[in-house]
Amino acid sequence: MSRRLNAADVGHLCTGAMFVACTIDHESSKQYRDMTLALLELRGGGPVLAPVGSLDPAAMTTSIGFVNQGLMFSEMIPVGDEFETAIALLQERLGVPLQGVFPLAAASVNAMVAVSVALRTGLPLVDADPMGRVLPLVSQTTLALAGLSAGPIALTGPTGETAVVDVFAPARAERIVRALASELGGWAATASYPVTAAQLGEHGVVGSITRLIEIGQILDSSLHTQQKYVRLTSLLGIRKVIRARVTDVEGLSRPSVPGLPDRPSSATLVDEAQGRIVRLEIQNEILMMIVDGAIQAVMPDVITLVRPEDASVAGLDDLWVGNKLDLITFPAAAQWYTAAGRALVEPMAMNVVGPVRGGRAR
Amino acid sequence: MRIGVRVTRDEVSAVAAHADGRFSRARSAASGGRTRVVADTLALLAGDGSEPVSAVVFEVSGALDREVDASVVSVLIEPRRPREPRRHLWPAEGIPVEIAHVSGGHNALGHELVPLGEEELSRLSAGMDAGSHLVVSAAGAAVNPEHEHRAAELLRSTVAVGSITESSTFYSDSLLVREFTAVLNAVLLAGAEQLAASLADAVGQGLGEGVRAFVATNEGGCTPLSRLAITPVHSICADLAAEMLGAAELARRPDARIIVARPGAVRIGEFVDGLPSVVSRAVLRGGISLASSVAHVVPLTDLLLSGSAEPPVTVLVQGAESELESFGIAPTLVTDDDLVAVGAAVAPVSYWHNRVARVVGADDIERVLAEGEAIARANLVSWGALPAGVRITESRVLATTYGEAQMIRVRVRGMADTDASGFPSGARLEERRA
Repeated sequence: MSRRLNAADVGHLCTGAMFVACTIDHESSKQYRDMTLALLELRGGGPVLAPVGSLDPAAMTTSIGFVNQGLMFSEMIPVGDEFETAIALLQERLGVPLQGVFPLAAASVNAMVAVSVALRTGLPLVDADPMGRVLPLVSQTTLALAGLSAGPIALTGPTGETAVVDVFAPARAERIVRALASELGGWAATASYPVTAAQLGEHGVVGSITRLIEIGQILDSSLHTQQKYVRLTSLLGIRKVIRARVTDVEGLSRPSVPGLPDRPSSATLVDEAQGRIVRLEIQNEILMMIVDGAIQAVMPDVITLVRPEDASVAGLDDLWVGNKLDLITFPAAAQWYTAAGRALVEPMAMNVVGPVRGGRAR
Repeated sequence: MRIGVRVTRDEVSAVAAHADGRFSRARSAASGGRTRVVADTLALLAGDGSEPVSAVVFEVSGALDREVDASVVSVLIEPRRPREPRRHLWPAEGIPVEIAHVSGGHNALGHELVPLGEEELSRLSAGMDAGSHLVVSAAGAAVNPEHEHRAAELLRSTVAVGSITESSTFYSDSLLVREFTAVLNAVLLAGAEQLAASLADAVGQGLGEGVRAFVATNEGGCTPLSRLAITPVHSICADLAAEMLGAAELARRPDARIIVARPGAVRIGEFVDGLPSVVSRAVLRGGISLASSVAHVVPLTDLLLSGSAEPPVTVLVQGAESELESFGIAPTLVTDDDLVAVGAAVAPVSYWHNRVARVVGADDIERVLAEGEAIARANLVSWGALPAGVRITESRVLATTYGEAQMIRVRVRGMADTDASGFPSGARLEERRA
């Protein structure tokens, strides 16, 4: 059943979006939250959140989201028209009107952008996405797993420059869009993966916006931290909570795959209760959690950081030696645990360990 | 000996840390002129001069006043003008600011993305009031501050400004966080300048020439008093860190969770190697971020008491007995000392080096870190530290995400002992742990 999101929903959505993607700077998510709340107040109502089944199966929809390679949005701040421009360009290229938008990733700033764009354009926000979390590459989507095209992709950069890329293979889309994002000034506001509502319902991660709101409702509540974890366990199937203190953070000299974002880094923590050594491998996302040498969680599992004092979402800024954090892991969407799904997103796919064999559309 | 002085609008409270580990105290109401009261307090603690005073560290968070009715203009240099008003951080602090947009900005590699709008700046300066505080913030300035430098030079040459602050002076990868920090710093400048001058005079009057003066900073260190007149924002919540330092010093615990119970508040902080753990952003009321490193001190909760095998050290300030009742913990130590002044007396001199650098491999990373360490050492020695008393407590590449693969963020933290400061050398740390 479709419903209009209210201000509380937007606040909870932001909290949930930061929780599932703790490594991405939270300022950008908060910035979009506040912009959306201001607009919501101005217009007297929020955007429509539409279950994917409520749309005409043939209705064309598109994912929207930032692709970053360089300065983040909190440094190179969008002026506000980027996604509307990209959507207009994509519609023009497709020759059919778009009847709904969904986030490229139901996590972090891209979840918030989708709400903001739905409110600005009047298009329904479809309750689904193609990642169910955030994954570093544009090609790492459940739509790509299903063999669907990432393109055409319309994009706008910080200077207002635009491009429309006619590309099919998601792996090529990743390389081309990432290169454009860098050249445009650090990011590209993209409209990509044009799919019908039926395709999104069949191959997307359905209900992911609602889930983020539910996570936010728990974390924003007045419950104590442990009570929040109990509720989150029942919602997300949390596998592990480890309270640990940061003892080291290091940038690694291992080079990134050319053309892909960022350098790898590692954090070492010591488990407060049992003294176990916990190591986090980070490259854009937390890819792996190793406890006393044994892998406890690995992509596609979601690994996130929470501040013990109030269960607020932590980030990389909290990885300071001496700081104490709760490390939480829970499973991602079921599609990622298939053989094809794992091949696309596990750390080997990003050249973190072992040979490169992924990152390609299958 | 070293003297720590907590200066508020109403009171001056000082503690002398003697070389033999004793503390002596003095406290006065700040009536009849702050300079005189501080000078008299210092002279009282110095006594007959048999033990020379090596340094005085002031904790001034309770004495920093914002300039009322300050005219602040924030010049934002970005590729494009925003379509709608932005959510700036300064309205939450009630600081009125006029916004001006100028085109410009650099990308993550430090390359110019859009040329600086010099004509726009010229037009802007023509309509500006003399005496305004200008804050100049450019997108990408954390990597390349050239547009901020040029804009500041141009404005300085055409307007008789009260001050110009380039927000890249403050380290953050958020343009609006840097802008807010610079704005808050700007409205504190006039008061901080007067305060710094007054305190410097007081040291001269009370102790004579040759005594170094420092100001406590938000992360539990201190920096030369002259810096107070330039970056007062780094001292606005120094009391929390100083109080923790004071408690850790009295408890003689270099590695522990420290709880301080005082009337109205029970807080907890963590100490590693004699220093409080630190986070890179201060969070003010309403969750507003400030680009200033702060000691991680938070209100105590039951949850924070659990989960650790090592019991915390609890320091109870007399009169706050009831504050601990709900937690069911007994104090390790009860004191009537002014913990903030004790903490100031033992605060080490600190220098932070934050930088974005371009690297291609491990050798580059080593080089960038070594350069940072050298800069930290040089600054600390220039502030009076003995070279052998400098310790690099942190030197690392920070984890970043979704950035340019060649760009890294580096943070180096240098700390230095000064005579009788509580900053433990390696040997002293071992002694305390034993």
